[in-house]
Amino acid sequence: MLLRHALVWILGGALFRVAVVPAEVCPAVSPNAAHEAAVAAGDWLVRNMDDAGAFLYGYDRATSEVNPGYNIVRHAGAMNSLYQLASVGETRFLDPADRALGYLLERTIDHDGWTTIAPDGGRANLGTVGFTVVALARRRALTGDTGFDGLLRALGRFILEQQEPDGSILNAWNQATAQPYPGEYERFSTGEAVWALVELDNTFPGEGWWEAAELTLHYLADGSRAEKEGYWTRLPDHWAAYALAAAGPERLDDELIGYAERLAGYFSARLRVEAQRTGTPLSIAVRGFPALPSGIGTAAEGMAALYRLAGEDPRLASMRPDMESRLACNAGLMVQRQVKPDEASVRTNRGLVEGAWFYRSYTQVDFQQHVLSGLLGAEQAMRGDDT
Amino acid sequence: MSGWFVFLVLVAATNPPRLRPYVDVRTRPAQTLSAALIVLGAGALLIGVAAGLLDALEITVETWHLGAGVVGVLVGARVLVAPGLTGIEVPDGWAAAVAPFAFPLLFTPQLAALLVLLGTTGSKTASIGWLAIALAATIGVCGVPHRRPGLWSATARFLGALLVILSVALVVAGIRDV
Repeated sequence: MLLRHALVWILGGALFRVAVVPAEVCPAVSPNAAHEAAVAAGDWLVRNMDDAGAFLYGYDRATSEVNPGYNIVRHAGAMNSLYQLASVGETRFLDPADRALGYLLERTIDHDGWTTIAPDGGRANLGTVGFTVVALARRRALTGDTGFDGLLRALGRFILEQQEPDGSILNAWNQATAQPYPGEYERFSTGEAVWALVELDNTFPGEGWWEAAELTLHYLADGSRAEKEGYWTRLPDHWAAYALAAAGPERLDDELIGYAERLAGYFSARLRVEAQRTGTPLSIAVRGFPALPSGIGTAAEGMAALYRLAGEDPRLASMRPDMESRLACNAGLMVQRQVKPDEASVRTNRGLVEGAWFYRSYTQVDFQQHVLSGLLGAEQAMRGDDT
Repeated sequence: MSGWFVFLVLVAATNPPRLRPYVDVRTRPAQTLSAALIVLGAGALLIGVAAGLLDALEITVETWHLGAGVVGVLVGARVLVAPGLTGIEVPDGWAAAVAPFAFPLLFTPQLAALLVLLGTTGSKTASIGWLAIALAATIGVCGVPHRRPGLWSATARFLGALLVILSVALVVAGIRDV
């Protein structure tokens, strides 16, 4: 009987190990290596930028085809990541970030006392404006240039125009009708906009931006968004994490801190599962392919933002060592998965692959954007930097 | 995890009404108590080495939370469907203390998964204490006269359902913990 049960234990244990708790593989990485990988991703963005300041949108290395599509929200997000690089000392990224900003400034629309941004005749998306506000605020802090203060406030007024009394924020504005698209919300744009509102308050305190930001943060935190916008749970919203970190502990009540804890849990689960994905046939069978780099990058970005908040807020302090572990683990993975110069050198379009992360054979501008921002956050955590 | 949670999940994992047809502390007290001591020793060992075990397996505590929860949900669901144990032979003499009383009846996969979790999330001494209390409760139940098999089966199902619920809580904790 014992032998039979021993066999059951061994087989059951093996199945448990393979299917339920595979090893979380965390390649060793130094803060410098994480930083260099982020810089290499920034180089990919800049190297493949055109004269008008537009990024290369996507590239398939299996077919050597460039994706001719474009997404202005992702453009704004990638631009913001270049400003992030500049603000951690890589000031050579400031000029290309300004060129990307120029692409957006060419597409501003003034209306009724506020300003928005949209491609020719296209929709004015909330996310584009949100990222532009965050980037301009970052640029202002970095350079001391106040020349865009009027634009910052005008873009902020667009966000307020889109905000509804319950804190929800409509996703887009229609140039043809000069009206918002009614009842249309987007998974991430609300978080992007609320982050922008918090940065506006940090830049221009006392002008009422915080009140608008607080309304939307509670809309995200108390489950109202999930109910109104049709999600079965609160979203793992990394942009909301940025907003919470930018707000700082003094302005976060217990509900918002609870929301921060919940977000940290989501990000951790996602990063842990990713560490279990090794790309071997067995791993693919039980855990799937390594995920989209943009998806992993967002989880790392969100965790990094909350790590910064936890450094200032004693209510989150106990989570910080685990946050640092998750970030370091993910940084090791992403550094390992990035296309290195020696690998790129054997490929035809070296400039399109070096420094990039691929999902199967495809890379896209937001893959680099999110992973590089996550790596900068991981670098900060690994150095124990609280700023 | 609170002490009550630990106690309940350990009792739900051992599920004494399920063992009762085989384990009778009144007729075989020495073997039953010996089995409990063997399981307590094995459990204490597992609690003691839990952190090192997870390190060796390269698994975070939070992921083990998920894993222990998944095992508990599966076992609990199986008990709900089929509360009775079959194919268990109980030999005469002392050998019964080891097999089947200690292994496989008392020391089960779901109990082992929980003990590893307890060994990494709280005080080891307290965890061993809760295991001892849960084993005492189990042995106590195994001393109750085995009449009305339908009631025993229903109670086993109830504990199976409880194991499912508590294990879902472990899964949720595994997702929410950083």
